[in-house]
Amino acid sequence: MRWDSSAGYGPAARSDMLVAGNNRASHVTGVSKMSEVDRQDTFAALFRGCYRQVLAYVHILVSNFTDAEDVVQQTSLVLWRKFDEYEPGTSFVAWACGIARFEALNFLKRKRRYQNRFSEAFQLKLAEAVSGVAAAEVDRRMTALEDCVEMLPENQRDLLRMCFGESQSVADVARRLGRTTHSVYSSLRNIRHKLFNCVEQATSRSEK
Amino acid sequence: MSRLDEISPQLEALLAAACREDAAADELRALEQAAADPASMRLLVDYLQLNTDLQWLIYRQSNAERCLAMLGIEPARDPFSRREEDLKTIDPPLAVPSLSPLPSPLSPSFVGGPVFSYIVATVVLCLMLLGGWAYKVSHVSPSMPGLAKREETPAPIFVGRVTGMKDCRWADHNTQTYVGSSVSLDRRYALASGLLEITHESGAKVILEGPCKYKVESSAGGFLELGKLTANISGQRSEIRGRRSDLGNQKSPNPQSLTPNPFVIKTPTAKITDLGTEFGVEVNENGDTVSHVFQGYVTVEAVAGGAGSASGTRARQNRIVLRQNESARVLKDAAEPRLILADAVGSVPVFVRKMPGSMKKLDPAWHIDGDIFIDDFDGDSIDSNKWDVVVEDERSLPGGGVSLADGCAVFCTHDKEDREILESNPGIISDTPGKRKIAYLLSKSGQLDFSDSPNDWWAEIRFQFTGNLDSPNWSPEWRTWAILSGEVDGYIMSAFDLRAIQRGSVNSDEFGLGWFGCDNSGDIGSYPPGAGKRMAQKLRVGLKKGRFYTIAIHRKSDAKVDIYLDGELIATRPMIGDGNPAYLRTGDMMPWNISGTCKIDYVKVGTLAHGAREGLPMQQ
Repeated sequence: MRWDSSAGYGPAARSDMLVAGNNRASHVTGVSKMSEVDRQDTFAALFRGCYRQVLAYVHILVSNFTDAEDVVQQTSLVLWRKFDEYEPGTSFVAWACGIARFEALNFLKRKRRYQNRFSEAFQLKLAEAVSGVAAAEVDRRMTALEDCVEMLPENQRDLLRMCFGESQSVADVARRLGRTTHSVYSSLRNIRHKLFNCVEQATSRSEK
Repeated sequence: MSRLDEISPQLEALLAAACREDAAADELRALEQAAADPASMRLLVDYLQLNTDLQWLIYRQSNAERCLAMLGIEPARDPFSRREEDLKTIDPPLAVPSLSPLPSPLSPSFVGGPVFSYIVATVVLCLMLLGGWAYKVSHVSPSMPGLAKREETPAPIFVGRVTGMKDCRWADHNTQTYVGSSVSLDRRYALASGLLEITHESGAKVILEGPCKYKVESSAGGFLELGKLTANISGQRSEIRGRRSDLGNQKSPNPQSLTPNPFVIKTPTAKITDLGTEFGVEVNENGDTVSHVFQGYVTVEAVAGGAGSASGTRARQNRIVLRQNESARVLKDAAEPRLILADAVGSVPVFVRKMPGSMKKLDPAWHIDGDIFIDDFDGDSIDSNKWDVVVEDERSLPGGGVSLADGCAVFCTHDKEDREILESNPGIISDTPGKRKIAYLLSKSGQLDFSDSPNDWWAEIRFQFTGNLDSPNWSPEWRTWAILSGEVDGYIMSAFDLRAIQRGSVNSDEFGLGWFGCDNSGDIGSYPPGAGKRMAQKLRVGLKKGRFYTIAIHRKSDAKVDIYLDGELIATRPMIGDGNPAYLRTGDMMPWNISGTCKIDYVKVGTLAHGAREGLPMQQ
């Protein structure tokens, strides 16, 4: 059995293929003409392929990770409902980010936390930039990140677990550790810096 | 130097601000301006993606599969195995013969030329083929040809569910799943680490242990390309055997693959067939396969050309029936696989036979109501009021012993076989006896007094192995490290004695957990006198080097101990006699030539009470 994940048998690769150039798109009929099985399969592959990118985009808009998850879940409903409007051959992640942006703004309104963290123009630019990154690259960086987290010292991993894994606010974590909120944020920034460099090195090595 | 190192600290501060919930408006405005150029915007996107991925990684709650499940889209359907075909299927087959590229208007020279004749012949041939094809399709279904073709595409067949996951990291993110998802035929799983349990419709359970690559090939088995799995078919429901999945409600593309009896695991070199049993299989990176039977029987066949090929090969095979506690190794030799049996197999891998999540956890109503002995090793030196530091045979070897660092007691011991020490100290002659250093901690006499609470008490230790237990001259049974021992005053035996036993080769990263109990042979020197001969019992729990574990024992009123690893019950064993230990002991105290390095974060012993909680919660 041949099984090489790098050969691109994953949903990310599939979604890349579906959105590849117009020459291929011309052979793909509209979503509404697909059988239900094909429609579900195609949606699942496309949605899986861009899930974390959309999550990252929403995360920056609503600023809280669990809120971002809720918004992406809501977004998935809308995407599925409107899937017939999606035009195969165009960028699914860009389409998804466009819908996710509205869902994020609706969410903030409902939560009475409506505030424009970013201007509308910047939100759109950000969506464009997010959808411009290949899904395969996002996957590569994620894989590298997992290894990089493993290489962190225990105390830094503990801090990540406390801040991200236990539904505590950074202020709560700071109180628990007897530190200031600023110092915990500073530690998180240092950890992100270290991880970013580690990921860059790992992915550049794998590209060579 | 990464892109992040090349930007100013101010810009990095803005990037970090974007990750904060309480970022100030002016910080975000400044970030918008700073990210005006494409390179800065890309840096921002990668930074934010990392921040989200990091939280996703730690939180591990969110995934696309949940969203798809909410939409009623079967998440376990393997979306990538059919995509190429899907694209072809979606292509309208009648669109091909339209032959639109013909030149128009047709010039006389073209019409009369050889190219024209060739094209006409081709068109006629295509039309004939098309007519034949349409005729064939019309006999399959009266509906549109394209639709008929789509109906031939098999819907996924579901053969089981994912029933457990523990600390899963994915070697291929595209194969990730979640507990409760359906498992379809041809579904692949590529784990980097962690455990994944699949329960087949028949009741058979398979536990995959990362790193592992596995493909579900039928309702009764799969292909293990790499790594370890444990299959437990003892719970298989016989009445379901032979029934096709009603979840998929579709015909199988291969009806043979839906014959669930017997359960078969294939590997690149072997085919292991269940005869009603529980067994483990490991495929290493060379493609060698080790099979071990825990209960019942299996047949193991060495298959040349790989057992995974659907058609199979007629190449030479050899076959053996394994019984309980028997193992076989199939070597992937260049010519053909070789089957090796019994003693020649070598060390048997440690297999996970139960999902940790399904293990019993400590009843939270239990709590320590009286501290007996606690040390968190946070001071500057070993507390001499609590411990005697025992270092033996340090005559000729430098370094080593027990010290404190990073809030841990750090053990470093070595022996004359330690090549690194020998090479850095050429004056030491390797065959000179006494070149050995062992080190352990022994609690002060009287520290462990359980007399006030002879029934329920608790002992807990958090520790990490940082190096090997090196000894090429001793069998694994003796390559041990005392993790937590309760020594009985005046006897050579301990009331309880938990040890790490190194598995496999000297440089193996994996340790087993051992309980050093007694049998009933009435050997001299045991405790209580006549109780039996010392023996090591493997608890079949793998411990990895470089990771902290918490092991605890609950001594109960029935003179048995429950043993917990990271808060989950892994075994219950009898105490040795009914005596209470007088000392606590931890470290390298084996008189044989073994060395190792280990850290201990804390040790905690206390009496237990059940009910309303007044004392400190138990630390696990």
